[in-house]
Amino acid sequence: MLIILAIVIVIAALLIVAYPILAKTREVPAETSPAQEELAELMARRDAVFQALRDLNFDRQVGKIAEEDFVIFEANLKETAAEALRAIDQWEAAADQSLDAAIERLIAERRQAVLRGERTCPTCGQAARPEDKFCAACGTALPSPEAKPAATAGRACPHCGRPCLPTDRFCGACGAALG
Amino acid sequence: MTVTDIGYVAFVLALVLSLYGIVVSVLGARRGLPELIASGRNAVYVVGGLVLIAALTLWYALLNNQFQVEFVATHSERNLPALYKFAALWGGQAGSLTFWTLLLCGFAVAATWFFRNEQPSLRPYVNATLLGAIAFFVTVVLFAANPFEKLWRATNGQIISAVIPPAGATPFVPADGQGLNPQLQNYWMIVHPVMLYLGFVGLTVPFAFAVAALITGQLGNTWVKLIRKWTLIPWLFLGIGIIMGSQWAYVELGWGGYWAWDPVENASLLPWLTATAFIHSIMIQERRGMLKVWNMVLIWLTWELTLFGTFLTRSGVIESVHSFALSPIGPMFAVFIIATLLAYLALLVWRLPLLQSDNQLDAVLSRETAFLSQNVIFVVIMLATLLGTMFRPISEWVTGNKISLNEPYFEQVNGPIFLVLLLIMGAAPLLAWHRSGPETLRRNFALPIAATLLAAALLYLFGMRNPAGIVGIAALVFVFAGIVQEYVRGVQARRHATGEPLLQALVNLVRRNGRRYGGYIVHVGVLMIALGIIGNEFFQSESQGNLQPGQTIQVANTVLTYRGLEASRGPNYIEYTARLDVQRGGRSVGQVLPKKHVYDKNPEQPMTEVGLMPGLIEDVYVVLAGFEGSGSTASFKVYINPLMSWLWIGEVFLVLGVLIATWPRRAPALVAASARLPTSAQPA
Repeated sequence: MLIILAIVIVIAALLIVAYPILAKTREVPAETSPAQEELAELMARRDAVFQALRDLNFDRQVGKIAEEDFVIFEANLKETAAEALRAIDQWEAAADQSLDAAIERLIAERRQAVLRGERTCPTCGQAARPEDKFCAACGTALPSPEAKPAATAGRACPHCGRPCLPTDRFCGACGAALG
Repeated sequence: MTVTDIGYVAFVLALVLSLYGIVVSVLGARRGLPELIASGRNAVYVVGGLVLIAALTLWYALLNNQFQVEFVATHSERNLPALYKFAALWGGQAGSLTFWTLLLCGFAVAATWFFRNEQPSLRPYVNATLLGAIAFFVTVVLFAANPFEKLWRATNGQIISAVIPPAGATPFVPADGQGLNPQLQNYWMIVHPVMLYLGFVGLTVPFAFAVAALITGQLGNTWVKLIRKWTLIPWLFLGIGIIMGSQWAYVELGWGGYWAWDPVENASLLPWLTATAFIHSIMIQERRGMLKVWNMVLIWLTWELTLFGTFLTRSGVIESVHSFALSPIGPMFAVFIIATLLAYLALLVWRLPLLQSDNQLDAVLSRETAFLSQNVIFVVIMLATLLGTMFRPISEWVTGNKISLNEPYFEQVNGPIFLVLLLIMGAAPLLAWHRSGPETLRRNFALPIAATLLAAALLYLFGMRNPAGIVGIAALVFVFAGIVQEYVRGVQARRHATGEPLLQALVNLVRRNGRRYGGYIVHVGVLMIALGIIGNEFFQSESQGNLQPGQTIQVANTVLTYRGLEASRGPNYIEYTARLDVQRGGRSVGQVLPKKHVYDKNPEQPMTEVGLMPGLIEDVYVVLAGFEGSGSTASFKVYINPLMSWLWIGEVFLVLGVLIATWPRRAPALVAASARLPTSAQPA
């Protein structure tokens, strides 16, 4: 009885430790990235300056610091605070930029895929094989392959004949307005 | 196979998996493999679970009188009350190291869980460091102080203890255990070691973060901010543990005092001193980006001192340097301490270029400099205490003669330094950050200094002639007046700004600035503790006498009349209770009941249970030193200990202050900014 218990404990312990390695794909760590750690550090620095400013003001209120000193240190701290805020802004601008770039890239990829007549998932944009019924990435039911050419076949530029997407409002080749 | 064998298997596996966890955590972090990091993290949880299982098997064996287990046979007995059977786990070397490991695992698991979504680049190294500490203690338990060993009768009739018996040996089960050391059969001994261990092991978490910050080079504000509460809470546990140890000494040892500067006590004080310095100096780093190297050194020293304290008290090195090698525990600790000291030093030197200060001191008279001097003084006290503690083995090693430094050394060296520390503690809050000008100095120090002078004059007028006592109490008044002034001015400023009524302004003041005003409450607690120490140190009176029923003994203005002695039966001891009436100033104020316990298993070591009448002004403290016949004469030692209760009241204030300082506050609105951004967003 005790031996069985010991064996169960050993096996359970080993399984729990090995699980992340065995089930490699299922463990999607919803963790913060190193970039966000950088942001956390920037924000910690900003919070520290804000705290110092609050303390300085409080010290003045309770008469702990001379007026002329207050003016000097407040100016210093405000400058530091401005620097800290600027650093955060820069980080966010860079993050926004890279986010925009990432979105643009995904859109372009998808356009290309559609234009090449490849199947893609309507939800997440993942490329799909002709025989797939569901998206391999997100599980969305895929429209049947027969339906697809029909959706795009009729769309061609009336002016130059270039194939267009259903969502296109102007022809990408000649600029003619699409109906 | 018995239940404790499962504990042994669990411990062996815990060792293997903690070593495995270190390897995969570091490998995963280096190679960027999240599945390895996750496996290392799971190893922390699993090792925690395994050590818990092992501890549970020992508790099971203790509570069920499984005397074949050697630890149970030597630390328990059938008649021991269940609560003491439970506490017997930390009543002996092997069990207490197991318990230590368990608490360490508890902190490791809690920290791993708490920080599961923070600082992903630090965490693998934090986990590896925690697992490293756990692996060491598991190794010590398995190879130097194994509580899972059982008793066997070998083929030659000899009784041996082993986990796996030699061929032909049969189980040996004693009819009853030898009992728990009577000194440990006291309610303070149930809680005091737990608190102390929680303090010791809890400090491993901030240390692990320091190591991780050094390895990854992320040495900014974030790690300091993350570990603030994880330092304050173990620091509080350590403080409570130390005070509870004093309470135990006070009621159980019966020499009228509470602290004797003995090595075991000093071992707990040393890391507390450096930890106290650390929790102050990280404020400077957080605020000004200064003292980065110093903080790294302080948390390093603190952690090494928790190990060193264990080494001192468990290796036998204090009794004699020659007993050091008798048990493998001493050498194991020595090797581990030296190895970790050197490894951390190497890390620190490697990262020195990244630990530059962001700022410089603005002026000599500022709160920063007060903090800095306070830090230096704490370290000086630590060194003086360390030297005093180590003097005996060092002198034996150098000269061959054992020379012990006792109470007078510690009191004469540390007493004046503590006084300076007290004054800095009073002055620091009155100084502004950055700089205090002459005008503001006058405005802030006038009242506390006036109060101090007034207090000294009053003490003198009321007949106090002990200069040290007057100086000590006047210094307490200085600090206290400063704190009161801080509160009053804070409330005034708040009322001025918001127009809130008095009480609301006070509550909001404390709520908005929990760290500052909680810290002040902690300071008030320290003042009360200091008051108790001063009272006991300078104003204790004592007397002793042989009394027959009806006779009296007088100490100061207290008269005690001996009424008689009764014997009764406790669960595993005989209790002799003497009854004495207490009169103060001619008025009867009650009875004290000093006792002696003669334990069944240790009749040669009768225990003193002090008869105590505690009071805010003074304690009446009576020790039944001995008696003849059935109490026809009994000898007593009587102490009047002024102000002792304030030591214990101060403890409550420490807890209260730390609770206020660590109470979670609403996060500032701006922090939400990071939540907007998807994790895949990378700044260019």
